[in-house]
Amino acid sequence: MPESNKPTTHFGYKTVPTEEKEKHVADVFDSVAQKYDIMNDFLSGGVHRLWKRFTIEVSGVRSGNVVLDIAGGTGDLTAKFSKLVGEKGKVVLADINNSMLRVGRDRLTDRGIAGNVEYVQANAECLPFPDNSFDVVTIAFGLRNVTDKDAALRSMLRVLKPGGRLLILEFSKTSNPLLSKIYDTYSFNVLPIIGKLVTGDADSYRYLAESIRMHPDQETLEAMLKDAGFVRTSFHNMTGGIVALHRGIKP
Amino acid sequence: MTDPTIVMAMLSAAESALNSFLERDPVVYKRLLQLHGKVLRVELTDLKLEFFLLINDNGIRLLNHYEGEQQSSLSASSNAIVQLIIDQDVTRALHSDGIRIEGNIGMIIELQQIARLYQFDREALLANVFGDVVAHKLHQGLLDLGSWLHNSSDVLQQNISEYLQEELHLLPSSNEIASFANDLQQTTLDLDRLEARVQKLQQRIINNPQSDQHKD
Repeated sequence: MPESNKPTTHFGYKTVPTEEKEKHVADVFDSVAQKYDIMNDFLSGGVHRLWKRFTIEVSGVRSGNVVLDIAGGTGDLTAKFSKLVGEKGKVVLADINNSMLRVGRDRLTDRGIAGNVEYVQANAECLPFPDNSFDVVTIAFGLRNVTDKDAALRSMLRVLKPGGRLLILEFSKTSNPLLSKIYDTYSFNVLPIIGKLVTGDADSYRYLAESIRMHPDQETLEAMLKDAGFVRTSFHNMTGGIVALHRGIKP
Repeated sequence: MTDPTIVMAMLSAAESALNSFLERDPVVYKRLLQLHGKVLRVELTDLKLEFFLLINDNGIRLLNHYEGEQQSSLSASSNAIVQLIIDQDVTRALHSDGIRIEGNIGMIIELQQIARLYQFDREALLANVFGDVVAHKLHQGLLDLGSWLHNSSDVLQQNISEYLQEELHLLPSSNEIASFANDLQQTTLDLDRLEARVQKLQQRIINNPQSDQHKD
């Protein structure tokens, strides 16, 4: 992507110096971390649970697997993976944001999910793990906040074992014009108001809507996966393309 | 292909319902666990829906996407599947039209037996909300109410038919209908005989017109 080579990048609809995007994103998530789960349920009407459920099915995670959940936030996927991999397996919950990671760790520990879960504060662009260490890598609603997406994809490829799979769950583009219209109205008018009412922070939710629009569409992201070196890439549209699940295998 | 979100919603609801039913019947649950690790692929031909039923420690899992090995595969219309679950004669149900089975048939038969074994314990369900004593009384009350409604509807139906038949004479009684039906049958038989007789006479005229003329 051209923006990764320039000194500036986008933060929602704004253009900011590349090195500052990380800080801006961090501010957003520091602000929403405590109420992140409630807001997810609230804003998506609970549908995000179904998107994540599908992601887990497509991941094909089984007992004994080692899984990396990047941008795992408050640990929705990690909790499910932890059950599936069992005692012999391991799940690493990684997030760049300390606030989100802390909320996630407290939440999982309170629910008795421990023993096969590790927590790592890490940047997706340069993952601090050895080559070929994971069977499955997932990143759910995280990639659009990453400054250099190509570097992140290459980094994920590196840590995957050969034959391992990467799953990217992310907002995408709807192909239905009517749905797009409703979705745009909802994102730019309703979403910031709800954000303001519940968390007292309209800007973070305005950023959410804008960053979704700036994120590459299904075909572009699939091409990026191929460029990074993934094979047998594919994607599933969900809820009319509002969300897409991309999959790629490390050769 | 149906949007995965819709399929996920359906499967997720069905899975929670099945597992909460299972929690209430430990006998069935224990028997189901003997199928631990087995996977059944189900294809509902009329709804164009495919899903996988997996038995694990937490009970039943329903998946839209599964890439592992499956022990058996059942392809049928949703009607045929309901029929399969409620039919007492599983072999007959399995051989009915529109049901296709691949792989281990034993697993399907076992699941059918388990589904039939399941007894819905309404009293336990009420006890979760109201407590044992109240639930027992409430359940007994509901049973009494049910049998009262059943009796009342029988009596009501009897009274109405009696009123219409005996008081208003709008409808004939069953005796009258039976006697009318007898008469009708007798008449039909008589008519048949008469018809046969006429045909026989006609035949005779055609075969031998001369002799008849001489007689006249």
